[in-house]
Amino acid sequence: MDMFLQLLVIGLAVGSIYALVALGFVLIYKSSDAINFAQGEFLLVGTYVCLTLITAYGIPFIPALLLTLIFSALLGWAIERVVLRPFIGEPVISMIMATIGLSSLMAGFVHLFWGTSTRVFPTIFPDAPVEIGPIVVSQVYIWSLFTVLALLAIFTLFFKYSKMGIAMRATADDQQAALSMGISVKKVFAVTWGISAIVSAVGGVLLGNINGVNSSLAAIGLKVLPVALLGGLDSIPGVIVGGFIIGILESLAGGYLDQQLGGGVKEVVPFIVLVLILMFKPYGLFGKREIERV
Amino acid sequence: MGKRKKWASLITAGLLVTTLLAGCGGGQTSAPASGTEAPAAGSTGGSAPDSSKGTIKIGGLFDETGATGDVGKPYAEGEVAYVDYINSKGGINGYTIELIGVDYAYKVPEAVKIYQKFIKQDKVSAILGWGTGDTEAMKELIAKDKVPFLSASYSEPLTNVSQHPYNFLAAATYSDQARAVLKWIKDNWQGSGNPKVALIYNDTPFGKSPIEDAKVYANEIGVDIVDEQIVDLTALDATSQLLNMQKKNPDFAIIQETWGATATILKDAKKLGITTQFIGLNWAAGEGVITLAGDAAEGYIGVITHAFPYETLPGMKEVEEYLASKGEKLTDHNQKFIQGWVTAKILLEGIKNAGDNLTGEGIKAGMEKIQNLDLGGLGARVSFSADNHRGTNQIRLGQVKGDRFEMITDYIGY
Repeated sequence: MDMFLQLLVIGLAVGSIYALVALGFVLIYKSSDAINFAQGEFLLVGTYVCLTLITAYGIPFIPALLLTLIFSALLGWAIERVVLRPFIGEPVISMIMATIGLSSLMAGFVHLFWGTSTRVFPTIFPDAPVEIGPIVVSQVYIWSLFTVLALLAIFTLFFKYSKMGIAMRATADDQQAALSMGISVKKVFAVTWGISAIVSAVGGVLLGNINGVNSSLAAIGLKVLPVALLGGLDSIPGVIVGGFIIGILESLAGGYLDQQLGGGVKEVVPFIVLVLILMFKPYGLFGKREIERV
Repeated sequence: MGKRKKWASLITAGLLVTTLLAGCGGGQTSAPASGTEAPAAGSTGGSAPDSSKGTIKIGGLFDETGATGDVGKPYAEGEVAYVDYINSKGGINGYTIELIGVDYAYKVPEAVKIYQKFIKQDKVSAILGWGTGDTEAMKELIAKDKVPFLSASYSEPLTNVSQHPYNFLAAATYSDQARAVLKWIKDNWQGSGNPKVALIYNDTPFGKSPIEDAKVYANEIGVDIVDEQIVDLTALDATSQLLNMQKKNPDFAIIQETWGATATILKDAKKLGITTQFIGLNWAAGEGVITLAGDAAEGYIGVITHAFPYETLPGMKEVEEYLASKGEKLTDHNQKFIQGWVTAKILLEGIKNAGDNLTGEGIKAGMEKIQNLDLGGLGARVSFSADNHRGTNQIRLGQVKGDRFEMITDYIGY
């Protein structure tokens, strides 16, 4: 029983990081129907900026994180302005292709500026794990759990009640109609990319505190795409649930099935479940079902 | 209006890039390779001395920006540095050495493409390689083209001389490393019964390379392999594997991973209060593990195939002399730099033995003349012969005390 609880808690914690990174996909998809393949690189840039502020300029963690978030927002906004704006009104696939190009470009810049060696954050979260009865969890996992829950609440409220949130939903639903209703699609896109870059940076900083930072960190961007698919690409609660499901499945499969089946099952089981669920719910668990009459 | 906005955003973008540039320069905390300049792709062995006989070209397949760039970059820098050093001493047998280094970013097809260019266009005499995947992919080509190839992959199948007559290994194979560790465990075991050992590795050709050999050897000498766990190279967490391992209560666990996964394992083991002694093979050891794992690395034992720059060894003098001529210090570099330096040194020794016969066959014969090559303690003594390209089976073991590995054995084999 102790082992089950331990696996469950670790699964929840790792899943919360998956959810956080996948949130970036959902935000972009929600407003523009496009998938941003440069998500991992946004994460990387945010992480390196935060690390540089802390180590090169000696800024304490919290102010450094805030500056990083401002930087990320500006970067997301600038990239939308320069690279993606010409694609407004064009087929979604063009924008997706542009993000693939953008990811290579950003990866190149990251190599150029920061190199490839693995670096670590100075100790931000204390090393000592938290013990809850028989369960032990690292502090960084607890923080990521809280961060995800807080962001979930903020974005749910934002999309439901704020003017900008509603405009974003309208834009995703139908760009042309939104335009004709006087919604500034340009502004919506700019805000979306800014927010998405912020979320990625937070995810990256947490990941960097777990495993160090090098350019391979960007790979997590694509690893979590299934999380977004599972929850439903356009659903914020969905992405959180999807993250938890994948995290917990990984952890439990590692704990129980690896022993019986000889290892490595941990990496595969979540995807088997993903395929099974998508067979019955093609739009994901919470995805919006589109009905079109032809 | 629209125009002005466009300009404003372009300027903002420019400013962002400038800020980035300004910020990324200094203060890199972790140290593997930080603070050093990358050798540019295509860089050569530097200032050429007055050489009467011309130039010997060597190809260098480097990973500076790929998945293993963290260790690949300092390794490549070490190779470039040694060639530069030898040229500054007058080259070899009157020839200047030109090292044509190209970054292949750990992509096998890219490596094969560059290899073809080395052979057809540059007409290199030998190649300094890097990864297991690419070396394996090219081993037939290497045999066909008869080009001596010294790789940083220590995979045991590459030692099969009848099938791969032009591959040479500069350090103990992964299997030999595991055997040496198992023998050390057996020799130093003070408990009752056989020592119990777990194996932790990743599901790649590199990860699985030593596993079967280790199990066979453990069985021979009376060490019980009680558990095997697979931990992904990029795992965020190894709790489930460690909890399973704990049920078998192993006395030791041998890790075949790179720095990132090893640090995750050590941190999670500390968190769970696991008292098993962890011992990592060569890519799981090195400065990076201590930086990444922090306190959790204390007491961890690593297989050390090459010296650390902070060790006082006879061979370190020439490295220090060379670095001083460039205005650098030993402390600017890490163990992987030394590893690259030593590997280039072994190849150039073979070329020296080849005299003026600089064909592939000639250099191969020169390599096979290397007997008990003294590397001044920077690596184990290396020998090759016509039927043995294994180089050595010797390693040292080092244990983390504070912020560095301290050697707990001299060079040992099995």
